[in-house]
Amino acid sequence: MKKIALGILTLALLAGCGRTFEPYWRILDFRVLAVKSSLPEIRPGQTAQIEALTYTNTEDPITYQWEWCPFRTSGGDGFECPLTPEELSQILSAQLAQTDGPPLMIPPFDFDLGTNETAEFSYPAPQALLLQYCESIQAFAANAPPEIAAAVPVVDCSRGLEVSLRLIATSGGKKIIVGKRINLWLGSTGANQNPEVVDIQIRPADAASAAFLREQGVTWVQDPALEPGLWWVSIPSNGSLDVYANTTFETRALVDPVSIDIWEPPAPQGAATEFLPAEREVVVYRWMTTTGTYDPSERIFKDTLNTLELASIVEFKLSQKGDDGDFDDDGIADSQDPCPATPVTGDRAEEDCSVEIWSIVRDGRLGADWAQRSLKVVGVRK
Amino acid sequence: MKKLLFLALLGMASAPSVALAQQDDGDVRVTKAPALTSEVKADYTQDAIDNRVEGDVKLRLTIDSVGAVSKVEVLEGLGFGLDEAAVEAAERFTFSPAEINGVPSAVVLSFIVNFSLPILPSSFKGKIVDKETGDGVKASVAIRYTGTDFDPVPEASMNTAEDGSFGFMDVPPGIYDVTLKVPGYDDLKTQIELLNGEESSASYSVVASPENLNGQTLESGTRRKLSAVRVQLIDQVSGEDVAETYTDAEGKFGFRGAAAGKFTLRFEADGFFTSTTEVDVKTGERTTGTFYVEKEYYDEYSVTTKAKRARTEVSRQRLELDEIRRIPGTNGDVVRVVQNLPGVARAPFVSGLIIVRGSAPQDTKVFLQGDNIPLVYHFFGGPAVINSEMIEAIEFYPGNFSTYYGRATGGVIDIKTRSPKTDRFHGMVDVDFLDTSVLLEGPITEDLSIAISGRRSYFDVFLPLILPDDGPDVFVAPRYYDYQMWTTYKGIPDHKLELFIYGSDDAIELIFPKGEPQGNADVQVTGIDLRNSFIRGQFRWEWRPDLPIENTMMLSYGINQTSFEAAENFFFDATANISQLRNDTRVTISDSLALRFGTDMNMGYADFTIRTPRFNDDSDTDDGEGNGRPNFSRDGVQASATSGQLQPAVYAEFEARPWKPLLLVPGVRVDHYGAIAETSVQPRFSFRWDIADKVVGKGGVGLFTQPTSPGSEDPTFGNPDLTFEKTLQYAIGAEYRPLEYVEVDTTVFYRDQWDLLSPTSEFVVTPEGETDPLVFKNEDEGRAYGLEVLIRHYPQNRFFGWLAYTLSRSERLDLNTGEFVPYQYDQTHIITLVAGYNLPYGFDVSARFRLTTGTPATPVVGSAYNSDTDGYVPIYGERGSVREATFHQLDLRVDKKFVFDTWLLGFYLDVQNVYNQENQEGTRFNYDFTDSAPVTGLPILPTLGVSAQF
Repeated sequence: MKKIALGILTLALLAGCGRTFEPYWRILDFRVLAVKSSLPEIRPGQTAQIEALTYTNTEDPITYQWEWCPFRTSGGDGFECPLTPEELSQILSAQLAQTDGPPLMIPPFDFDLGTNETAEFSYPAPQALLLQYCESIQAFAANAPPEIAAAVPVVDCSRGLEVSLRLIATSGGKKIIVGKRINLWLGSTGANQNPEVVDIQIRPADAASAAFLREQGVTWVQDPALEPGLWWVSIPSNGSLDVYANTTFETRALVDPVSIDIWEPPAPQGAATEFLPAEREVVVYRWMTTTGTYDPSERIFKDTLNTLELASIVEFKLSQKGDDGDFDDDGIADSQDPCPATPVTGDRAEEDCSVEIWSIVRDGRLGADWAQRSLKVVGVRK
Repeated sequence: MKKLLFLALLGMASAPSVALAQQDDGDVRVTKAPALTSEVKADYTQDAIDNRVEGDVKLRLTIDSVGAVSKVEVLEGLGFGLDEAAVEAAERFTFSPAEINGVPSAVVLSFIVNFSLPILPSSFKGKIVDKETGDGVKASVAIRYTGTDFDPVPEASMNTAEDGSFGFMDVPPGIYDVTLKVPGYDDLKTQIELLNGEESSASYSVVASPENLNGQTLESGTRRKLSAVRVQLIDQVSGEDVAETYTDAEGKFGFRGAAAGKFTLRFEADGFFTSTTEVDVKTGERTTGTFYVEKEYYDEYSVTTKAKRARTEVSRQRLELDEIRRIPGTNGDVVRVVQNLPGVARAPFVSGLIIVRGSAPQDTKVFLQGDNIPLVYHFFGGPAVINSEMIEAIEFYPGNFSTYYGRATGGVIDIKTRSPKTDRFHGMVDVDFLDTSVLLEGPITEDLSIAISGRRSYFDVFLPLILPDDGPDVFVAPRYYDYQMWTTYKGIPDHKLELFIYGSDDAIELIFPKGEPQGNADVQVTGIDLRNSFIRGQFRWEWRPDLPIENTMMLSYGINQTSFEAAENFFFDATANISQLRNDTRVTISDSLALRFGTDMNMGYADFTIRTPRFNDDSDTDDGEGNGRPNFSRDGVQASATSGQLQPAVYAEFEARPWKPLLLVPGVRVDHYGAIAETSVQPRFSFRWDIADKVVGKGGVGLFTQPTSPGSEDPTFGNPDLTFEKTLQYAIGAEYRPLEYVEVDTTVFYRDQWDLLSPTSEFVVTPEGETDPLVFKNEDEGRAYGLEVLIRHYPQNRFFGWLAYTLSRSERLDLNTGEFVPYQYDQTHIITLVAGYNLPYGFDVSARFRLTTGTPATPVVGSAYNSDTDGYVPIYGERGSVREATFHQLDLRVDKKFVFDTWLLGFYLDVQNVYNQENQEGTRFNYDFTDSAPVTGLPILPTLGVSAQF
């Protein structure tokens, strides 16, 4: 009787039998990998540099269109701002008219941030106005339809006002809509800075791999007789390291510990206190690559669970299935596979066998940073 | 044949003796004696016969010189007319003259006339009785003449009547041997003298022989006592039937006085294979044994003939356990089987969701004898927590149900339990890949019986064995178990007491490798520990006197516990104590009017602790359903509280027959929902009309309400200003029953729903200036309408099955557009064909075929990348504007039973999706929603199981 659970198990086992999709972290064509603001939290008078990490494998140019919105926009709506600047001004005027405070000037809003590769975003209005604005829109959104209410941050305005950035990036006919938030400081204490990725390092995953690579003349590989902790080698930011397919490596991203803030997380609703005890920011490491396989592609640093160093390590393998040239391990040897099956030399090797890897680090408080490095496949480990 | 031989002889003898008539003094000599030349027989007088007089009459005859009798004198007489008869005869004698000295002369002589009685038929009547009881016994009686007077020797024999009486008529008198042969009694030989012409009677007391061959006849495998089995005792040498008998209600039989030797016992009964067995009867010993007879078909489909209350509902389907067990694809699951009935949409994947007439799954309630079941299934759509072996049947009401049921706006499933078996102890073990079930039941006393069952999965035991050492980083350890104990007491006439205790316990653990938490910056999951358990007791008291009133009272109490822990800032723990008190009374006021009324109180409280983590994603569109996600604080929520629940209800309904063919059932139910302080008055009405022979019209309309989901009214996690959900149900239809076991049922229904609970992103600002998310509102609306057709062949003639077809449309109001759109479970066409058949040799086959329209889906028309959460978010198109592919699937099941004398061994093969149809159960997307593929359901899935029962 009752073999339902068996069915679930079977279903789970067979789940991988269907058509598979390219993993999120394998970058094969035009992508926006991340957007970061030089300042995750902007204070009055500050201007943040907004930058997108993009990749394309074609010569098609990438176009950018930057916008911002004084609301928390929704991805389900394409991060579109629910109100025009004019509508926002009208609402604000109406709301401010009902308040007893000193009259505040509503600055002209312009949500357009330009079409350059990067954008600048400055603290948009006086702090007092933004604070009042924050409280006003909450009052406005109270009892409003769900689509309006959902865009309003239900938070204590003193912790800042989250606004949204929107990027529409286009290349080769493909359009990508990207959203990101920035916090406008309204008087809270404590710093909020981006995590800083200072280096990406690599090492063979085991002694046998190290020995093999050294036998093949891969000079950056350390002596396997050394402690594995000493095997790490930085991947140059302006060059590449030689690697062999069918070989497993480990990579890690070094993050400046100083860039990891210590902060007091807001206590959950219903808690007796307003803030939880101070703790280090959680760091999420995301790894991406143009070929190969990560296991896993994302890891988390949590102070009480692991260390910043250990959390950054992932396994990275460049596959080579026989002689079919399937370097990206998608089961098909096609133009997406950058390297041939056999070692090559000369210009073509440089052109076709490069592997781009990225480590993107986020701190959960709108801060982000990344680093990009290159590897070059020079052979296949049989 | 009555054999009668007799001879009748008559005889009379005479003997003369001569004397001279005169005496010579000298030389006088009789030179020639007179010789009788003509003799006349003397007549026997009736008086002499009647007085049994016989003997000699001595006469003195004087014979003259010519030989004539001139004088007769009686010297010695017998009387009774014989003397006169002798004289009269003698006077007519003639003699040759006597000569004296050569001269004819008169003489005197003596003459004896002998009278012998005539031989007259006798009769012999008698009776044979049991010496101990005095009751007459049937026997064979033989008599045989012992003398030598007759040739051939008279003899006769006969069988007595049922009361042991017998009679032989017209038997020659004399001494006879009497031989009595009585089956099961010692033979008796005696003598009797039958007097001439008289009736003799005798009574014989026979002594029962010791029962030297007996036994009990049981059904093979089940050991059920078989009555009325014909048992023949056959002599192995002669092949003749020696004796036969029938088993009694206990299956017992016996032969008395069976002769020593080898015999064959032959057992014969309808529905069973005829079986024989050899027995060796020895002198002075008793031969006994238990003899098993194999049934031709086990689990045979046959109509149960229990008295059932006449239907009063518009729509009710009852499924017996024999059907439930056999439906492929449901794995004998007591609740899932309802998914195959009309009006019920196909549930996604293997989930046990019951989607009735376009309502939400949570709108349909499952009861156990009227008590709310706290948990229907084990984790993740696993098997139902109620073991199928404990139930007698399930009753399914897709709508317009009685006022007895409440707090449900969809359908109702009421599971009817059975009483534990009372004949002896029984057991059952069911083993398959995932779990094992055990059941033990039997009588404690004559009036008290008990059953205990349990089931446990062992997925957590064998999973580590099959996982490679370098396998997944996730260790999965799910396990579940459930248990039931129920007891029935029937020691008080008209009363029945039942106690039912049941529960389940589920646990799943996912443990991630140390130092490798999963999640994101807001919540770091080190593992998942999910537990769900309940224990519940139900006491029932049924009083059904031979009076126009009956009453059922039920009291239940249970503890439900649920806990979830994934991270230090993400956990949930709740313990609920829920009790239900019901009293249901039915009074028959007259032949045409009955009143049913009762109370139904649900009460309890729950302690819960919850902590939800911060979150920062922007998926505020609740997957395209339109109303937005509850606008909880993005800082998470922490709470620990106790909430109470008080839901009293009263109900009453009449069953009136103003006209014999017409049954009207008006009723009303009043529910109070304490958590939201609202009271609901729900008038309901239904009718059944015997339009013609075998045709019944039916219909109903009523208001059905239910409280919003538990906790939705909580001030922290919900909206305390909610109201109850409402549905107005209409149904009209007809039933046609051309045969006792064939029914055609069709119903047209319409449902109008309003004040439905829906999540919302809306919030309010409190007077203190704090934002307060509404979380829920009663602003959704829905409607559903359709046609249901059921053609059902009830279990009979080794076949059961049905064809169910539903044509329906279910819609919900899109709060964004104000338009009605297809509901997520809407399926325009639902066809289900179920059939099962008993085959010989212990095989049983059944099949199920389903075809349904694909469910509505909301297309993804684009996506956007959220750089902060590192993922793409779908952009949905028009809600419910596309449909998934049509679903069709064939499931088969084959059961094979091996029958042993004292137990049954069963194997079954249940193959789901026989032709491996890749049915779409959903859609999966690539990371940026630019590519998609259908999520297909179960592939062909054979399941093998084995069960044993004794």
